[in-house]
Amino acid sequence: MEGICSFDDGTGPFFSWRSVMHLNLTFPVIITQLVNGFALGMLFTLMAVGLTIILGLMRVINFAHGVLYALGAYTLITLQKIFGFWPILAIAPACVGILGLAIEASMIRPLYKRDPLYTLLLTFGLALVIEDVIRLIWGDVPYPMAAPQVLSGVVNIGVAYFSKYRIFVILFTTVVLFGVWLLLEKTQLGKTILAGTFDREMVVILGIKIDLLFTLVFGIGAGLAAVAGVLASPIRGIFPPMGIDIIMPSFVVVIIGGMGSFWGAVIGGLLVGIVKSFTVEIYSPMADVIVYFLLAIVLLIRPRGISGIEGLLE
Amino acid sequence: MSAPRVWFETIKTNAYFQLTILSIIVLLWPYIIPFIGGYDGLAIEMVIFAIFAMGFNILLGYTGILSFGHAAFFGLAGYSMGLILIHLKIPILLGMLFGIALATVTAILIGFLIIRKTGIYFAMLTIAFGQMFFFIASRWKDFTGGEDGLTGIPRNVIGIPGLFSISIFESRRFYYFIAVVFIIAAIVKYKLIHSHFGQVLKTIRENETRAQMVGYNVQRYKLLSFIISSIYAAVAGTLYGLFLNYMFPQTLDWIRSGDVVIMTLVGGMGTFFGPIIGAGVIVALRVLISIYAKIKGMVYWQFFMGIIFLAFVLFFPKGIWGFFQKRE
Repeated sequence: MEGICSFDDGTGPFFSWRSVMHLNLTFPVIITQLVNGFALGMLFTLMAVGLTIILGLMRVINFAHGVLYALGAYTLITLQKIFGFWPILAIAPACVGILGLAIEASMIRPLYKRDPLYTLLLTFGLALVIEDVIRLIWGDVPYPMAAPQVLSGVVNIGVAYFSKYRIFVILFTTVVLFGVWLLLEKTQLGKTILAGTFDREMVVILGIKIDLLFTLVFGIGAGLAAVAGVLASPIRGIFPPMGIDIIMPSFVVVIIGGMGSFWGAVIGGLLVGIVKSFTVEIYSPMADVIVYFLLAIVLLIRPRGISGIEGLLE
Repeated sequence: MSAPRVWFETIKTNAYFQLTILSIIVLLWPYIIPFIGGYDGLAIEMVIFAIFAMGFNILLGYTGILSFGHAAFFGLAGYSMGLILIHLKIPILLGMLFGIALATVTAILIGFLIIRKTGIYFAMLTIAFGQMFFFIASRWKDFTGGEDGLTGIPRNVIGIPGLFSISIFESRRFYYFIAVVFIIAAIVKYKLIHSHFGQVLKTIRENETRAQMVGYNVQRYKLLSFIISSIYAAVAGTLYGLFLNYMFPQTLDWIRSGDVVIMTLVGGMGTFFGPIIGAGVIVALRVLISIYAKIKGMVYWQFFMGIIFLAFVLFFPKGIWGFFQKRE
């Protein structure tokens, strides 16, 4: 694992002024970290958008979102030899999306009558089970994953060198997020989802089959997680706890952005990604902790997050 | 009523009788557990987690608030006790007090920040803040030992200088030290949930709006419940640190927070004895699974824990004890 991935590089002292003072933040370094942070942030955003839509409409925290992301990545390992990299970007979300539909319909649906806390516990249990199933099928060893040939290496855009793959990640996720935005804002389905987020009872009264809507939304969220998983593989590597590693920052992004808010998730994702990236450059052992300080600060200033919906989950 | 029926009613209703039975079982436990294949270390772990789950139940079972970050208080107390014992060489009881106090202050600060949030939002915030402590423990290598953990937490004698001192180095003696803490914790909890305070918590669980309308300061009661359960977690955490002579970052992880949630759920949320039984069952199962349920030499503990989670959430939400006794 390289560059922006900061999970296991906590070898230095936790904090020392020397390392901060010897910092060499030249312009190219800043630009490079900005792009790295942007790419990372877009992955968080992709996760957080799925989480936040599910949360807003269904009042469900999906702990299993992380393992669905991991399953996306493992689909890449399994099917890459047959199809190559590109088709997996469509196949993985389809497979994982179907799994998401099945999970919602079989296990989460019976729990709507009960306290929402039970759904949370259920998805937590699912996350544990699926992570170990991944270990059982694919083994406990990390898989390195190279970017596709076309996108390997760096490109010089005047000021600094950028990883081609990260630029591709930014562009691709932008397209996907634009698609999600179109779906939410411009289609009947999206309007129903938003309506359900604001006033679920009214949607039911209007005669919309909310059960089907829930299943569909859960499936879409699972699909988005799988896309993020495939895209993240060449950057962060593939290893069984990868889902657990991504779910926490994604939760933080959802809270920072504000529960149930699409644009909140986008802004929050980019904020967390960029802050994290710069912390890696400035002082890497702080990179994982800084996210939670950021969360505390945002909550102190804006208790609902950046653009949280008033009255949702309060 | 027939005689057995009368006895049964007594067992069911008499608090002092129940607490006495519980105390006797806990005191005899090291002599009982070998018959079911256990050993002192296992008994110690069971009782420590019983304290943890018992306190957690005040929050989850009686107040109806789910926290997914209580391992942070467990670990924070263990770590801070360990650090002060290693560096300052103060008496163990004082070190424990320091760890518990630090965790309590942290709980108060975090509680103030997040207690107004409800339901799953609250749960998410507790996970987030819990993870903050996890990362501090695992990354601040100079101070906490990082991923390797904090080694060399002493466990020699407890006592008050000039008055008495008892060695707790030997595991059987350490068990009885923990058993005493457990019994005190159980009595305090019993008093607490059967007091006016406990009644208000249950009212909040059943109908928060109504509790507010009647005139209770709901936020303050919820905060107190959060803090009290954190103190129980902290007590368990310090005992755990003493037990292992060692603390490691995973003790603060949200997976560990999940452990205590499942103990409470399996035993029975909102019942007095449920979480105690739940803690015993889960600790025992973990040992059994890691011995017998290996696939290709690897232990898939998470898989089984997940399955237990799913089974209890979907089919037995009342838990083992809740199956026999209605939620209080």
